[in-house]
Parts: sequence; structure tokens; C-alpha cells
Amino acid sequence: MKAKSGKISFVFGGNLEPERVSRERLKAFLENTLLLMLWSLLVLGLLSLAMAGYLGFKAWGMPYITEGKFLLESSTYTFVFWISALTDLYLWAKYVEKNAGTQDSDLNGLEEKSWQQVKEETVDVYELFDKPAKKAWNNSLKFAQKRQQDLEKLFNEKTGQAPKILATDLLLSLLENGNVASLFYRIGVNVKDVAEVVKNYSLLAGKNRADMENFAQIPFSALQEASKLHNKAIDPLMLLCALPSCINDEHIIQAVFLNINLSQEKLENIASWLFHLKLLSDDLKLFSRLSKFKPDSDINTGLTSVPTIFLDRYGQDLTRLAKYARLPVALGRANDLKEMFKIATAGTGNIVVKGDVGSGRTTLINELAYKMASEQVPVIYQDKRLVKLEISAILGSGQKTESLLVQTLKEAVFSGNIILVIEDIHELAKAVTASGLSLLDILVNFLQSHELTVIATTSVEDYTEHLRDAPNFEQVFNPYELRHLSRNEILLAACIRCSLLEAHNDCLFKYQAIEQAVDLSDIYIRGQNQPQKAIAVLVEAAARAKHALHKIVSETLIQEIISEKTHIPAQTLKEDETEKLLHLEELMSKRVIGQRAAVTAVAEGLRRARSGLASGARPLASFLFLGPTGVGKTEIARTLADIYFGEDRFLLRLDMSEYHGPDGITKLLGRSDTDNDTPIVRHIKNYPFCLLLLDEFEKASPEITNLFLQILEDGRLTSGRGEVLDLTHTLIIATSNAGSTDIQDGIRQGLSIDRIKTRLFNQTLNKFFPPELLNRFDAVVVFSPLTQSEIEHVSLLQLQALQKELLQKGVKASFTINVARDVAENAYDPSLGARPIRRYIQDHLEAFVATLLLQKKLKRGSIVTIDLVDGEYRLV
Amino acid sequence: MNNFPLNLLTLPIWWYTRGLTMAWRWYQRRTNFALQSTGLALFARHMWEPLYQDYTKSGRILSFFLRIAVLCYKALISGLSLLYYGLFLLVYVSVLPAVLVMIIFQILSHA
Repeated sequence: MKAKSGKISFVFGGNLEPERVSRERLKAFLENTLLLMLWSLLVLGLLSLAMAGYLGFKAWGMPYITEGKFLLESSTYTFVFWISALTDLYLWAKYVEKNAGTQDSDLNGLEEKSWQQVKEETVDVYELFDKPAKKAWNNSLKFAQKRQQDLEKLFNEKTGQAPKILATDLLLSLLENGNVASLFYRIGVNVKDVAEVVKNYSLLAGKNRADMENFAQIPFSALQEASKLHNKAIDPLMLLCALPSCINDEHIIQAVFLNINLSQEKLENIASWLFHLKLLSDDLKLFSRLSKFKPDSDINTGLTSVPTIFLDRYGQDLTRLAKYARLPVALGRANDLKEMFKIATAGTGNIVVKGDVGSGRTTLINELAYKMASEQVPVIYQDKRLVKLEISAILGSGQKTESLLVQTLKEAVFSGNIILVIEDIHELAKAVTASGLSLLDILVNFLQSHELTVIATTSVEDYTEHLRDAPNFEQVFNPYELRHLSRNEILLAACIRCSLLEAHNDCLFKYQAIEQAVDLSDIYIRGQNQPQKAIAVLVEAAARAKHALHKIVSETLIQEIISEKTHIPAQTLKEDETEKLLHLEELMSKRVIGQRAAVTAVAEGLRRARSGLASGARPLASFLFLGPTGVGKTEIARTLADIYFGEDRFLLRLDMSEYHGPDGITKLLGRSDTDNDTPIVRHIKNYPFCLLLLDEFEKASPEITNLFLQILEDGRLTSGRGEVLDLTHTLIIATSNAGSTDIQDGIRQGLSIDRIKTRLFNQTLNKFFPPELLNRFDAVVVFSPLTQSEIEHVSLLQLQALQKELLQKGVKASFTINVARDVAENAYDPSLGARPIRRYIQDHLEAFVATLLLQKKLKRGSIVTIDLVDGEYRLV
Repeated sequence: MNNFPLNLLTLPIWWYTRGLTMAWRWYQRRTNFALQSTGLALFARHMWEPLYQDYTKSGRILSFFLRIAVLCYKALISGLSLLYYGLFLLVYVSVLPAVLVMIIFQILSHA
């Protein structure tokens, strides 16, 4: 099999013919036997030499030894020694040849050695396999032979031919490798179970045929996988990663991987994690060797620097911390560091790194510190100290900050071996001195006339606000924006961090838990950046797992932590939540009378959202309820909040008539010049997963109506202070009396609700809401006026509320149907709906009951029935 | 990637081709590491700068002589390192023929 890449031809010499495999095994056996013999000869040679020396010493004394005559003497022992010396040299040569290519480079840390830079034009990919990969590859023949035997037994016939090696045979062989086993362990799967399934199904011709795969392609795909990681050898993990791309979708291996939720991406990510762990370990070994020579004190190797008293007081020597591994291990910003070196060597040398908090600015600085501690940096950074200036220490020193800053900077210049780091340099712009200049102006002026290298960090927003237009800033500083990490890069950074957390907390992270931490924190935790927010969740998870029984960090723990932080039920549906969602209509109907269409629309919308089918870019669900007053629009929202969210605090009710005037939008979103959040902003920040009830929506100002165009489309809202709020987990219910008259007319004419709705859309609603807003709601529900029996039902519900109040006083009261009918007949007003029922009960029934209580005719333990007789209430 | 058929017969060829290249690279790495540990190159780069930023006339003069002394010391240590590792290289180059000569000598002596 051949493949071409540019000028290089790749061949594969590892065919799985039994003869070649046997030859290789025999060769390996003979080599091992030979090595054993040669080692024995080495020992024999040394013993012979010792004997020759001893005999010579006995005969001629010490000069025989000291003058080396025992080496030249013609004797059997000496002869044996020299023969063994020759074989020792051969042994040594074999050892060196075997380990060639694994030697590290002490000094060329920056040089990228691509294994594709080969001198030969033809490369045998088999020779790029490491020993375990070769073993796994060759062992697949054994599994193929076993499979053939099983098939022959099953069909009671012998094929007489050598078995064709299939991908399942290779997989079974790979499952015996330790690294592959640890990959499966990371996703919580036992390799024995996988092997069992593959073995059982590998006999199924329909799922495991040679035409369903391209077996010969596997080594070359493995080569590609290895090259993605700049891995110098093809190891068993690379072979495993290559499998899915060489088999078709119906293959049994695809089915197995799908069943255990192991996608190609996940496979590659975990393999990358294990590979980078090894790299990190090698890097640290190299670092510890090279950093030994970095001076400990303020004085550099070149003896040009001087002690820096001020800088030591108001700064932190990062290279010294790195030398003693006191800085967090940094990984993930190597490419950014290379770009920075290019900028530093090309320009003025001062750099301002733009990146949001938590996106890796500090990681970049720490990586630089480690590199400087081991001198793996360009010449302009060599033999220097990386010192972080503590701005807060300068500002809080109580002395004149201007002179203190200048003195510190002068000291750094004079020392000559300082590279200064200023984190959050925009803070200097805010610190204005008595002279009217900010500390930033002073710094910039200083740098224009002195040679000092400064590396600063800031956020993108602060750069635009404070730095970009600062006088001469961009002449002195070269900006560099941190590259946004991809999801896989964030995952890798999180994985590496988890390996360190595992060692520190004696716990184990499942890979899915790390994925969940990255994905859920991305979705639900706002106001922070990756990878910081994912790592924060993982650190907390590790701390909890440390004290747990099983010490395993699973997806459930991650979901719990995120749910606690955000008050969002981030976990996959819990049993009681599932039950609630499935029976939501039933539960709501106990409190909401009639209005089946509205209850169904809300329940279906919520089920859709919580099952994950809803688009993630819009609010959870949004409804517009139209209808006369007092028919249950607000009651549905309250009932939903009570049943589904369980607590009042998740519901925010806004009376939109309060946002009617020209200042309505400011009142809703807040102002930029104040720190106080408005109710809606505060609520969304605290409870991203909540219910927003907007009553009398038609009364809001047109600006607010336009604002909701964006909210309902994008699920985000920008506050007056410029904060972007995420409403993708918010349920929005807007209620409106718009078109109530048309609805009542339609009911009187006997029209169906659908026809009434069509008429509303075509004739009435346009006067209140723009069509594009109406279209953005998930459902527009028309509420019909309550029927007589529904009003009675509402009355009964209100009477039940009075019953509950009396029960709290120890009185068990019941009401006859006459009472309910009386309330329904007298309290209901078509123009006000069911609203007056509560007031009627209060004014009549509660007044009657209160009198009885005061007359002690009702006391604790009383069981009574209240009836209406001749227009008056009586105890029965 | 290297398919050099290394066995007892081809050992001398390997020894003075691929083996010697590896030995030379080893020597380079070791000596570079030794030079880095003494800081000779770094120190030499700052040869004309006064010690501890002392730019006075007397400081410059003193620095010059002190730097010469330190440089000589560092050069001596570096040189000794080069020699030390060079010896290993010399041993490498000479050990195989020496062993072969001794074996031939032993054979002839016995004959």
C-alpha cells in the first residue's frame, strides 16, 4: 500500500500475512536471545578480567595491575575479556540505535521538529509504529485466526485459507493495550465489556464484512492522527483514533462507539490529552535541568545588573517563582508566546496583550516566566528577570504614587535586566495624580525616553475605552490580541489542569465530566471567560470529590455545581421534573379554570424547551396571552411559577403600563451612569432560568416593544450599563387586553377561537403590536370569557382558599353549592372578569365569618357548613 | 526510519558512520549544555559593559580587569568541559580498533 504526500512516498511494510508476522516474532525472539547471550558474555568478560587481574596480582604484585599489563597479557581470561568487549560495544550500539530519536534537545526548544522532515523519499509507515503499536498490529492476526476458527466451528466447515484481517480484530488487539484501556476508563467504560460485545458481534456477517471497511488505510490514517499532534511515533492510541475513519457507518465498531457515546472528536481529544500529559512531563524534566543555572538573586549571569530595592518591594519576581515551580503550570498559549516573541524582536519590544479576564492572559505571562527561567527565549529576553509590578501596592502605599512609580521604573532601567509586567494596565489610566496626569501618561512618557521592556495586559473593552486614545500609547506599545481558544483547545487546557487536580486531590475525572464543565459553563455561566470558568467548576468538583466516598468526578457532580451557581436546573431531567412536565396540564388545571388552549400551549412549549429541542439562541419559550380582563392570563403564569419553579423568587411580574412614557426604556434597562440595577436586570442576573411576566404589554412604550423584537429573536438584552444579559433560559409570558372587545363580540357571534384569532390578527392587533413582534412569539393564545360553570368553579376555588385560612385557625368549614352560585352570580362582571370574586368573598363571606369568630360561635375544633338561606349566610 | 542492518559484521561500518554522527551530536549537546552552565557566551556578550552598572572611570577599569579574570575562569571551565567530553569522543573513535587489535593480538599470541 502506498500513499503520497508532496515529495515523500509512504509505504506500509507491516502486512499481516502469517509468514511475515511469524518472521517478525522469530526475529524479535532471536534478537532477545542474542541480547541475553551478549549480556551474559558481558558478565563473563568482567569476571574474566577480574580473574586475569587477580592471577596477575598474585604472581607479580600491584605493578601488574597499575601498569595495565593484565590487559595485554596473553591468557584465556584476557582473550575472553576482549571478545566480550567487542560484543559489549555491539550491545551498546544496539541500545543507542534503538533509542535514537528519543533524545531531547537541550537548547533548541523553539525549533519545531516535524517528523515529516525526512531525508528519505520513501517512508515505511510501519517503522514509525512504536513497539506497543507493532505488537497490537501484529496481534490482530491472532484474533482473526480465532474468529475464523469460531466461524468454522459454527458452520462446521473449514475454509482452508488464511483469515482476512478485519478492523474488529485490530480493535480487540488494541483493547489489550494499557493506554487504550486507560482511554476507555476515562469515559467510564470497561474494555472487557467492549471486547465482549465486539467478539460476540464480530461473527455477524451483516455488521462486520471486509467491504464495510478500508483496513489497508488504517496505518495511513493513524499517521495523519499522529501528525495532528506532532507525535513522533504512531502509538496504539493513534491506531484507535484511525479506526472510525476507515469503516463505514453500518460497521459494528461504529455501533459500539455510538452506544458508549465515543465520537471521533472525543476519541481524538482524549488521545490528545494523554499525549500532552506526556509532553508536559518531558517539558518539566527539561525545564528542571535548564532552570538550575538561572541566578537566584537580582544579579544576572552577566553581572551587569544591580539589586532593585523598590522593585522588590512593589513587584513580584516571576522568573524566580517559576524556577522553583511556584507558579501554576502553564499550558495552551505556546503559539501566542511565539507571536509575542516575533513582535518583541521586530518592534519597540513593549507589548500590550488584549484578552478578557480568564481567557489566558496570566497563563501567557506564566509560560513566559517558565521559558525565561530556563532561558528558552530569544536573545533579547535572555539573562533577564520577569518582574510583575504590583500596581495596587503602589497605589496603596500612602506615598506620592507619581514619584514612586518613576523611581521604580528608573530602578528597573538602571538594573538593565528587568522585563516589567503590568497586569490590567488600564488601571493606571484611572489613577490621576495631583499634576493632572494619569499614571499611564507618566509611564508612556517614561518609556518614550528610556529603554525598558514592558509587557502589559488588559481586556479588549478596557483597551478601547482607556488605552487606544491615550496620548502616544500606541506609539510605545504594540497591541496583541489573544487568540480565542477553540472548544477542543479549551478542553485540552481543562484536561491538563484536571490531571494536576487529580494528583493534588487524589480523585479521578471522567472525561464526560470535563466536557460537561466546559460546555455547561459556556452555556450557563455568563460574565466570565473560558477556560477560567470551566476550570473554576473543575477545581470545586475536585475539592468535593476529595472528601467523597468514591472520589470520582462525574457529570452529575458538575451539573450540581453549575446548577448551584446559576440556579438553573442544568442537569438532564430529574425524575420529579420529568413527571411534572409530562403532567403539567393536569397540574395546572387544578388552579386554572378553563383556558385549555393556553394551558396546553404553555405546557407544550416548556416540554419542548426542556427536552433540548428548542433553539438555544432564543428565550426558552415566549407567549402572548390575549383576552378580556380577569379570565386567567396572569393566573396561568403564577400557577406555572408555583408548580414548575416551586418558588416565587423565580417569577418576576412587570406591569408594563409603568413603562409607558418616553423614559420607559431607561426605567426598564437602567442608566449608564448609575450602579443600581433595575428589577429586570437584577432578576435576570440572579436567576437566568426564570419566568418573566409582562402584564398589560400593549401599554409599554414603542421603544420597549421594539426592544422585545431583539429579545424574542436573540434571547439577549443589553442593560443601560452595557451588560449583555442572557435570556435564553427565560420563559416570557406577555399578557394584553388588546382586542378584548373583538373577542367578546366573536364569542357572542358564536365564532370559534381560531376564527376570532384570525380576525384579531388581520384587523385589530396591528394597531397595538407590529406584525414582526407577533410573529416572534412561540404562541399567541386567545382567552375566551369564562362560562357560567367556569365562574362557579372559580368561585369554588376562591372559597377553598377561605377554607384553608379557616383551617389554620382550627376551623373546618365547608360551603354549600348555593354559596358558590351566589358568589358566581353576584361577583362576576363581564367587564372585569373573575377579579371581583375575591373582593365579593372578602366583603361578604369573610365579614360573616369574622363576626362568628368574634362571637366565639366559631372556635378551634369547630366543624361547620355555611349555607345561603333567603339571601343570608347561615351556619348549618 | 533508519534501516541500517546493524549486526556484528556491520558494526565497524555503523560505528564510523551513523554511530559517529550520533556521538558527535552527543558531544555537541553536552558541550553546549556545559557552556550554558558556565554562562560563558552570556558573560562574553556583556564583556564591554561595566559590572553592576558602575559607569565611573574607575568602575569601568575595574570591571574590565575583573571581567577578563572571570572570563578566563569561565573559559577554563568551559575548555575543561570540552576536553572532558572530547575525551569520551576520542575513546569512542579509538575503542573499536583498539578492541579489534587486542583480539587479533590475543589470537596471534595463542597461535
